[in-house]
Amino acid sequence: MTIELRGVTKNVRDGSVRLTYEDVDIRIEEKANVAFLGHKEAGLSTIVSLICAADAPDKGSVKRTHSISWSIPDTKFIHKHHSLATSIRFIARLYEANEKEYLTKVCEMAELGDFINVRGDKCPKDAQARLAFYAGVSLPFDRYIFSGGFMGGKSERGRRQEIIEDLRQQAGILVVTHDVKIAQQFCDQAYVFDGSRSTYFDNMEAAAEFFSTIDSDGGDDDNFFDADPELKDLVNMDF
Amino acid sequence: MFEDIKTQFSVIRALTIYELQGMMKTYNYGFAWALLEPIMFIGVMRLARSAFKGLTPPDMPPSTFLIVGIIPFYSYMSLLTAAYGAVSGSDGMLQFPRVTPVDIAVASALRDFCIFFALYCVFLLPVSIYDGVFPPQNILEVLFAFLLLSIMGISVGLLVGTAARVFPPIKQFLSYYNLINRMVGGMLFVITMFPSVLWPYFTWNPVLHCMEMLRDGWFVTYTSPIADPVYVMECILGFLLLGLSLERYQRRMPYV
Repeated sequence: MTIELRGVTKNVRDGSVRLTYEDVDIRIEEKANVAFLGHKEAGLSTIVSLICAADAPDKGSVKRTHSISWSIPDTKFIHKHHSLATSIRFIARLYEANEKEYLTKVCEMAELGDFINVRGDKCPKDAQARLAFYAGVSLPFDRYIFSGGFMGGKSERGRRQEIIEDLRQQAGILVVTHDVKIAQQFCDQAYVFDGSRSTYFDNMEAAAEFFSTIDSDGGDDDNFFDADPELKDLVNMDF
Repeated sequence: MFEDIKTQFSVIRALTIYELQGMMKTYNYGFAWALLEPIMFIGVMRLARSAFKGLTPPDMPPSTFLIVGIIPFYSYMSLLTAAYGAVSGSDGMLQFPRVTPVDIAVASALRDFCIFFALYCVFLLPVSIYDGVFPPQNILEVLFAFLLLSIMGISVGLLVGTAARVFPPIKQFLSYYNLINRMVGGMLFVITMFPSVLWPYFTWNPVLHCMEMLRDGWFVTYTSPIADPVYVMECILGFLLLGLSLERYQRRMPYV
């Protein structure tokens, strides 16, 4: 029961993010708790799309032999003209869960209250995000994928932490983030994505150390100045 | 295997209900448009036929004649476009790992089928009663033809949609195909309105066979000399096999 990307090459074209991953090999074993660490410009959503089979690689193969969640807390399934209850029922139907029980469970966990019958476009973003998180963690998967902002606000953090701790005991989790602390909290192994390659680490400390050496786009600007000391002096000149 | 089939049915059911609910909520530009286009077309054609009497077969009332053909034809084109759209482009629903492009194509097609079938009943029943051509001669033949036309829409949509992933300009050909089919697909005529020497130029088209079956099934006064359901089923089988095989093969290809 694994997820395996073998010799994957993929052109990432996601807004301003333009890069090419070449010959990427990733293997995630059953119940392993893995982090994908990368800056925003690393195009990690494309790698997640490959794992979810929402897109295909340009070269290489993606193999998956266990059930995985969608990228939690993705809110794309919340239709702007549907009430939140309709969106929850849709997930229940999709995953063959008991509609009534699932609806009640998600409503209680996400504390949706009166928002449950409000249309998606009239509903506050934080209620939508809460729904998306609890709708995902309320279903049984072999692996849960968590990405950007899945820990929620300060008030939610403790509760979500407990839930994710429980899930990582029963199943595997995959955390896609640029926040090293969160990754260290939940994962034992990591793939660090840097430009066009991924590097595997079987302990989080080494992964964190390596990740700290990678510059995001802002860092590239500093390197640009480093390459030309005269230009750097000019920019730093005190007028 | 049965577990997989059950899962796929659940996925298609969930997506179809989701899409239908979405259309109902956006009523103003959902069902309203679905109603408006065929109504306008039927109205214009009805007026044209009043002006030029020779265009109408003498033994079939013009309004019923038009509705019997136009709504199933619109349904065919709509299903084709829905399946084409689902397969040729990336859909947000694909983020759910158990949803495949075929599920989205079938769900969109089922949504359109439900809408057009409801429209068919709503328009055809009162108009045919008013025109005095109710009940139909063979309702099973009419339903069968409608169903064949719908399945053919999905099959051709899958085929063209997969082709569009490697050759996007095919979208232009789809609009030409639509235009040609409007003229030669039998939406506005029956084959007996032409001399028999010209029939071989029309009978290659499976859509025409379905249209002939619809008129043959509805009107007591009309017996189609060319309608051949076996030919239509052969075409469907060919398109479907090719479309599904290509889709399965292309699932390993990235979206352009």
